[in-house]
Amino acid sequence: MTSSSERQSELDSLRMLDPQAIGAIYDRYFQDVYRFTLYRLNDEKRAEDIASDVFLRLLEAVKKKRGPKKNIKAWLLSTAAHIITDHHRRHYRRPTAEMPKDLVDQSVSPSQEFERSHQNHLAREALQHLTSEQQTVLTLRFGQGYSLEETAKMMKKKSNAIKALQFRALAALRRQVGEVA
Amino acid sequence: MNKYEALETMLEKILEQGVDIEVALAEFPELAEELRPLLESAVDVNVLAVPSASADVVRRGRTRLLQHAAQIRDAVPAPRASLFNFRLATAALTLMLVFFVGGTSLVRASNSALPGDGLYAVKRGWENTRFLFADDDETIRLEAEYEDERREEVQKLLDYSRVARVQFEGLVTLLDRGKWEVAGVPVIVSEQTDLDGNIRIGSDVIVSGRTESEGIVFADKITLNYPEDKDHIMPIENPEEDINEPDEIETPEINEEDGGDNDSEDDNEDGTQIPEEDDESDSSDEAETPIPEDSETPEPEETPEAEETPEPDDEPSDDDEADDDEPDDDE
Repeated sequence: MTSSSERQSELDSLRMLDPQAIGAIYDRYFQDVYRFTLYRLNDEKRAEDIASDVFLRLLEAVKKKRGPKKNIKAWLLSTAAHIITDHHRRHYRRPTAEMPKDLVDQSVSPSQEFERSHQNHLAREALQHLTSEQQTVLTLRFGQGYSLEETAKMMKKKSNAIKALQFRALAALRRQVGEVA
Repeated sequence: MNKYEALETMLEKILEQGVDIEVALAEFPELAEELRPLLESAVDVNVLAVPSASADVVRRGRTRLLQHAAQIRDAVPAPRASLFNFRLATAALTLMLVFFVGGTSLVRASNSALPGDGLYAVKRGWENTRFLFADDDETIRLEAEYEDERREEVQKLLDYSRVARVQFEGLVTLLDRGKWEVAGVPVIVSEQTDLDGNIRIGSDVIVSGRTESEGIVFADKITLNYPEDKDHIMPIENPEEDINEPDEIETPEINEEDGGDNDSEDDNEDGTQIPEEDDESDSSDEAETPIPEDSETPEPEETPEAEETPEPDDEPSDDDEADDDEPDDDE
């Protein structure tokens, strides 16, 4: 975790469009943005495009004297969430039945592997049917491992609201898994 | 404690401390029936592993980002004087400095200056001064010497990870999508790069651009050094580089709208095969794009996505989770 002074320094360098600072910010946060996007979309190519696009938007925002004021990471993930929502709105398609190859773990028996992969597949498919907020809270809490407080900050909500939101999100996921199965 | 808080308490125990679901539920027996399926779902969604981005993905995104940053920085180009005026002005200034201020020690001190250094203008000015007093043979020798000097300067800037505007000459030794190599210097060519038409491997070119800390040069403009002298452009090493030979494609028959009338084209294998491979491109399109396409655009898949997503101002406009155009991290 970076200190507040490091964050401020990072932001100052970013505002000057210093190439080294931009490269450092990219190196520090790209994987987080990519994995957040991949978790939501389950599409590596889209995740790459959107994660890359998020950083271009960061530069554009800085150019317009906007962009993050305190927390770059929160800004990046929030922007990614918005782009994903927009992507779903424009490109919604029925989930495919194909199971991603990267979900297969070679260290377990074939039957266990099938059962686990099948369960993962169902959960992934069900996740796609939740609302944007529900997807975001589950992705941040369980996909990215953020605490309740961190998730609340990123989503600009109070902790109690996040508790209620994740309750509803898990209930909705449960229903969707039943429907997908 | 309400059910939301109970769920959070149990999640922390299960996911962070590895407590079994049933053990966690034992503390809230009145909520067990309602919360058990939710906890099971939480465990399911928690183990959904997503891989990290590969090194290639990271590198592509990084290159794209730094290119964009360079374009933003270059958005307001500095006014350029003509080469003739530049030479005269710097030569005159340097002569004044040499005779009235520091003498030869100043020129000697500027020998190792690089673009962006304070003494670099003196160094270039002295070079131009030498041109003023050189005969034809000496001019040719000086030009070769200073071409080498420019390339060495670029290499030093890259070695020192310094950002500076540069211009240098050399042979193209690699053409791989957006990644070129000119005189051994890695050059990034983007859609915004102003390119001369017939550049290929072996072409003698002038590169104008900017060195970046990543050890590469982002090219603003690449022009043929001898555009009027076609014989000077010698395709080397890879005969397949000649597949898109423009002289064979730019035939007036291909521009006919009705391809069925072009009986003479039937004998031309290139003219008949290319349209079959791509139903959407007609012959006239081929004739208009004789340049090797793979040298101009880095990633064809990247552009459509960028077009699909709105400008930053549009990000959350329809989203119910924020009412500002872009994330406002005020907490």
